[in-house]
Amino acid sequence: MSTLRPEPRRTSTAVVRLVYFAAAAMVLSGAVHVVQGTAALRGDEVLSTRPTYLDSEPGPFWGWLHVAIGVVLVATAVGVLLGSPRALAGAAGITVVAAVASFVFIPFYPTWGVVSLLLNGTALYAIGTVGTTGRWAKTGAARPPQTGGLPR
Amino acid sequence: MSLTDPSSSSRGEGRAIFAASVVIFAGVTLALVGVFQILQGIVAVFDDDFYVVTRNYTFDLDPSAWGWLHILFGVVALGIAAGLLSGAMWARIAAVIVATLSAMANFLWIPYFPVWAIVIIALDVLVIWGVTQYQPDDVVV
Repeated sequence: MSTLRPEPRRTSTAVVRLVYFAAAAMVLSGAVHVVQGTAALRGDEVLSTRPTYLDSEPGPFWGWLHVAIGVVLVATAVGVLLGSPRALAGAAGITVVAAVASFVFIPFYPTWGVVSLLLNGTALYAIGTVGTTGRWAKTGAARPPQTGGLPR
Repeated sequence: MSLTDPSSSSRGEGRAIFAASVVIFAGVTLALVGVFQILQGIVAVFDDDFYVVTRNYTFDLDPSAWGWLHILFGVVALGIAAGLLSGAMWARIAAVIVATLSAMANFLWIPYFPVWAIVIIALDVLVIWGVTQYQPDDVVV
């Protein structure tokens, strides 16, 4: 950028791009949480049970919690794509919750927990950038920006 | 690649060049994902004992079944990468879908061999970023 003056059209275009990325990252993160939850619900042996950690069982509570987080993540991603400002606020909230849940999951299975945490961090970066740029809701993320060739 | 408007300002040209470089980045990265996943699959198919997983893993398939799945993903990814580099719209949508599915499959694959799986997941996320940052009105390919 060679100028400091804001250009609304270009700003909204850039935001639309990040909206798509935020939604994709949330869908991926949601799927990952459902996987973690399913493994916990089935008492999967890949999950380690430390005798002193959270009653040592990644049982129904953590399982259903992660499944629920995954479902809400995917649903919120759809709302974000439809251009709802409330969904964007909700996306920030659920992504933070998901990140915390991932952190708690780390002792059960460190690799899954860390990957899941990083995915949520990536989604949160995109959501935060979209939210602070503003004007995105009027553009309507699901609608591509007006095409008029390159900016003159 | 050429600019849509020959009289564009240098700023417009810079933007088009950035967009084009992002497409090339996404295409090449997706091709890399394809190659890695094919290699990972070949090892699973031909060396059953290479991958060890805890018994009773919820998402346990036969290693060679996982292997063929990875090979399939890899081949599809290579095809879509070629489409991306030629600027096709279908390839952009397909790239996001296949990169997401590949990342999910490799998340399930983590217990078998974590490091390869994580490398591929990271590349998949880069592909999704690259594809979503490129808009077709930026460049004519």
